[in-house]
Order: sequence, then C-alpha cells, then structure tokens
Amino acid sequence: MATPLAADDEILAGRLFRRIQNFKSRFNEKIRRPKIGAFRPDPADQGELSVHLEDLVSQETVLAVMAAHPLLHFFGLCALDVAVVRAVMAGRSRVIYKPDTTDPQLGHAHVVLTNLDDDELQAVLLRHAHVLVEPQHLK
Amino acid sequence: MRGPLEFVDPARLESHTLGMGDPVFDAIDRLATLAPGWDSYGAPAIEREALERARWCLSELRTRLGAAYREPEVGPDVGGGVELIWEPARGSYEVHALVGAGERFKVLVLRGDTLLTSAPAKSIEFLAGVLTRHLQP
Repeated sequence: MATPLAADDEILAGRLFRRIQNFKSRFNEKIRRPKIGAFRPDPADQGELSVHLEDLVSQETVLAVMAAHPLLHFFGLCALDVAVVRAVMAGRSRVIYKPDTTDPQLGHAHVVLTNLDDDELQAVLLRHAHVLVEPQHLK
Repeated sequence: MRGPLEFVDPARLESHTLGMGDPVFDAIDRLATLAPGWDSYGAPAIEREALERARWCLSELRTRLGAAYREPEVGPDVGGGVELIWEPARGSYEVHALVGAGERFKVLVLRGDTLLTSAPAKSIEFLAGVLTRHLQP
C-alpha cells in the first residue's frame, strides 16, 4: 500500500487536472486548444499554479463538482502528465502536494506547480496539456 | 518611477469612457462585473484603472495603426488587469498585451504554443510596433 502523501511532498508521477475558464481569451476555438492565460497563476499565489492530482480525485468527481457549481458549469478541463511535465521542465518547476483546507470537495487533492509566474514555463504547460473537456459558451 | 502608461492624460481617459456601443469597449466594461474568484482559483476583481488603461490603449492603437488595426479578443487577467489578444487572419501568431493598474503592462508573442517574446511594454509605440510586425497579412 502506498504511503499517504504529506504536505510539501513532491509528486513524481500521475496526472494533473487544470480548469479552463470559458473566455475566448482562455481557449482558442479554431484549434480547440487552451491559450497561455489558462496556465497563469494568480499573483497572490506567488508563482504556484493550482491543479488537482488524479490519484486523489477522479476525473469524474472533478467534472461532477464543476457541473454542480454555477461558476464552473461551463468551464473546461485539461490534463497534464506529471512525468512529462517534470521531464520538459528539467528542474525549473516542481510538482508539490499542497492540500487546501478551504476547499471541502477537492482540497485534499490540491497540488501546485512552482515557478509558473515564468511565461516560458506557462508555454511549456500549454504545449503539453491535453484537453479533456472543452469550455462551453465562451464569453 | 514612471510606469509605461503614466503619460496618459486623465482628461483623455474620461473621453474614452464615452465609447458606449463600441463592442470592444463594451467587452472591456463587462469585465468590471467579474467578482473576485472569477477564475475559480482566487483571482481578484478587475481594477477600474486597468479598464481605463485598456480603453486608452485601444484608442491609441486605432489611431496609430489606421487601416492595419484589427480588434483584439478581450478578457480578464488574473492580476486584476485586462488581457488583449490579437491573432492574424492567417498564420499562428498571437500577440497578448497584459494591461494592468500601475506598472503592469506586458507584451507576449507566441507562435503556436511557442513563446517568442515576453517583455515589459515600454510604451504604446512598443506595442504598436509589435502588432505591426506580427499581424500584417
């Protein structure tokens, strides 16, 4: 049985989920891909980009939470492979377990990618993200 | 220290708020309705000063670029600012301008999913030059 994760543990493998807001500035309808802003962390997060770890929450659960929430209802979802991200980042960003006690539904699966205030690293995520669900009714 | 858009005359900013019915200005105005947390990850509301600066940028670019001007996509930026995105009719370039309050005024150029440029915009002339270089048919 795998050892339970503790806060600040580094994640080495698995799949991460990131929501895509339903704005035309966040999703390119022509090529059906996210835009770079979808991977830009809030300044208050000091370069840490929030994602959720599939090992701790299933895609179905994430989508069910989104479907039930009025803000998230039309958001999309993309996935990032941790091993791929780690390989292409080559140490410039780390994947760290950081449970969020303010989110009772998904907070136990909260993970961050560090150093994502760097636009170049945002573009790396853009390149390697797989769209699972496209955002709807783009504004 | 002067910010990149500090040369904006407040009287001229006021005149740009009169662009009612202009679809792009209206799109900028709608960003003011976004509540904090609009991105689901804790982003702040969009600052009024950023909305005014974005309006001013667009007015200046329309004047400076003339017939070469093309309207951008308008969206919120996680830093409480406005993101303006231009794409040429052909090709895979994207030019992003992040227009915020205070010092924040930044330009990104991407070709596909490759970042070519990430630079603070020193002036509206700088952004106009980037658009001229990358958006010509």
